[in-house]
Amino acid sequence: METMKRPAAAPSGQMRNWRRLVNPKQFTLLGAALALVLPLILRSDYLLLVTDMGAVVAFIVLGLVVLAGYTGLVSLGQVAFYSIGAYVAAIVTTRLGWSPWLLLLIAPTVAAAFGVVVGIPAFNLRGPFLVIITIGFAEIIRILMINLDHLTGGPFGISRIPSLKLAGLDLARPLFFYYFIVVLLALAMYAATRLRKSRVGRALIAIRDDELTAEVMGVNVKYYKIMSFALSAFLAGFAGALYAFLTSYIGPDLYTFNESALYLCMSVLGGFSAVVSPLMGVLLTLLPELLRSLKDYYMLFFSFVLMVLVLFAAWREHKAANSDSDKEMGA
Amino acid sequence: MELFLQVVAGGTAIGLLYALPALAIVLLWNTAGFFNLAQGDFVALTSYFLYFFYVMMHMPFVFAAVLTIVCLGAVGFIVDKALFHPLRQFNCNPLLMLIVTIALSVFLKNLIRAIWGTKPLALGNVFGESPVTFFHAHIMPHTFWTVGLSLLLIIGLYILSQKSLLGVAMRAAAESREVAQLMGVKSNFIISLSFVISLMITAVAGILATPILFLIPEMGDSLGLKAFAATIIGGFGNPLGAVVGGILLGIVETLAGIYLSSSYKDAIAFGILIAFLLFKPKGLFSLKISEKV
Repeated sequence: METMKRPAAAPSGQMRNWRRLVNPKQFTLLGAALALVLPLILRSDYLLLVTDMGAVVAFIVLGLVVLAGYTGLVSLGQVAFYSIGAYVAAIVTTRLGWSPWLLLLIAPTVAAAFGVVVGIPAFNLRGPFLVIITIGFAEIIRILMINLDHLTGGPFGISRIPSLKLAGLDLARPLFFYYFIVVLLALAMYAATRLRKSRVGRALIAIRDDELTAEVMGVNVKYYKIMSFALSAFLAGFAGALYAFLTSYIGPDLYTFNESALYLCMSVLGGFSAVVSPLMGVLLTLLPELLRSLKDYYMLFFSFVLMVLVLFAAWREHKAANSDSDKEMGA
Repeated sequence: MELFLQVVAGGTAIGLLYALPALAIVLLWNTAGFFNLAQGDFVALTSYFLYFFYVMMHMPFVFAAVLTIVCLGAVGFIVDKALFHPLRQFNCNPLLMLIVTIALSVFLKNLIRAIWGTKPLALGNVFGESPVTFFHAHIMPHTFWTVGLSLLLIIGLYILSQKSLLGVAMRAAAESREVAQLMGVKSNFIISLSFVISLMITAVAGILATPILFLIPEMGDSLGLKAFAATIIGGFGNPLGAVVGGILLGIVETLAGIYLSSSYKDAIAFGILIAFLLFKPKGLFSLKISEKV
């Protein structure tokens, strides 16, 4: 009803209505409360472990929100950075005996370096070409992981990876890890939301909307593109290290092309929002476990829903554009 | 010399299996202006259809193959009407278009998994198991069939696109959808048709590839990716380039498999792809026509 009073901004008026309905502060409090009591609701170590894995995935999804949602660069190779983070963490802690805490910083940094390596050449490539270069990169990394078996354990992967320990608590226990990762994820989500509103975020969005205009306005397109690649790779690498320390085992079959597609789908389903998309990642990791009986058909159903949603989104955009042009004609 | 001949023949056969889906990708890109990332999964779908008709329904191979091609055409028609046609009507942005083909790819893989399961299936080599000796080189009959049929199809497509009215209409729609429409070309129909044709070409590649592959739901991934690589190596948007790129990729891959290591041959193929994207993004035969990127 509110929208009726503001005919000037029909599409965004609806959005504003939503915003008013869900006060961000209340929403955050509600979310925090739910996150606190979730272990009590799930009441199972196994489901909690799956939730932890979902929270790990949420970091990768968050990286994609920055890369694809903010900057408009679609990557189907995030699994490469994820696996680099995991393998670096696993190899260094098992071979050299370094502290896992140190690796929680080093592994994502290495992944970010690879992000820069992919980001520099990807600067000139757009749309499908960029997607293909990221798929190709991820495949090369996966083939290397399988074949460099003296380093990566080949198809058998690496087991007995040490876990994170905090003040005498073993963070490999799903409950402790849960609270640990929830705090980290909340921080990361907050940072990503802040990023969007910052000068950097506005530059990234300007590049997404119109690269040429952004450049003319003085945005250093190359720098920001590489930066968002590095940032998304950092987050994926961080997720990889977390996963390795949580489950103490990693293997190459965790890092297939399908996973990359799934992460992208999650971030699309969340509307590339820094809050909704990562939560979608948690939900969609947990859901197949809850709907065990449907597990074989889950992805079938999920991809179908995604196609319908895209159709719907395109229809809505089309309608909005049409009503805008009608208004212009009328005026 | 014998080894060389064997490598070239084997590599060309493999390469043509990349070239055909690559041709389908280029055809679709030129007329419809989008990239079908589910291309590889349609190859997988072909293989499973063929398996269904040939092994499960005990049909004669040629009949099963023709039926498979018709089925893929029908699938193309349905997918286009249900998914791509409405998206075109809504002027969907390229990012959403890309994501929809990714969703389609996941959907097809899981559809195959739901129907046929994940257990690897095999068709057996219907073209014959014993190699033919040709100038002292041992070449599988499968190679001859692949090379022969693919070349026939490629020549047929060339004639279709250059000489027939339909081909002219297709090229007109590729050049400019609006102008073609004004000249009386039913652009929408042409785009639907080109999607159907692209899937039928893919079906031929799938039928030729099935005898030498194990059938698993993910079997199309690597083939599809290499088809994309072929289009880029050859020069994007150029049908001839797609064919040459595919053959080149097949030969390089076979050579790498023999002289380096067969476990790295995929990595080498993708490495070449990335190198081309970096240093020669226009490919070997770049086109001067409108850039759609």
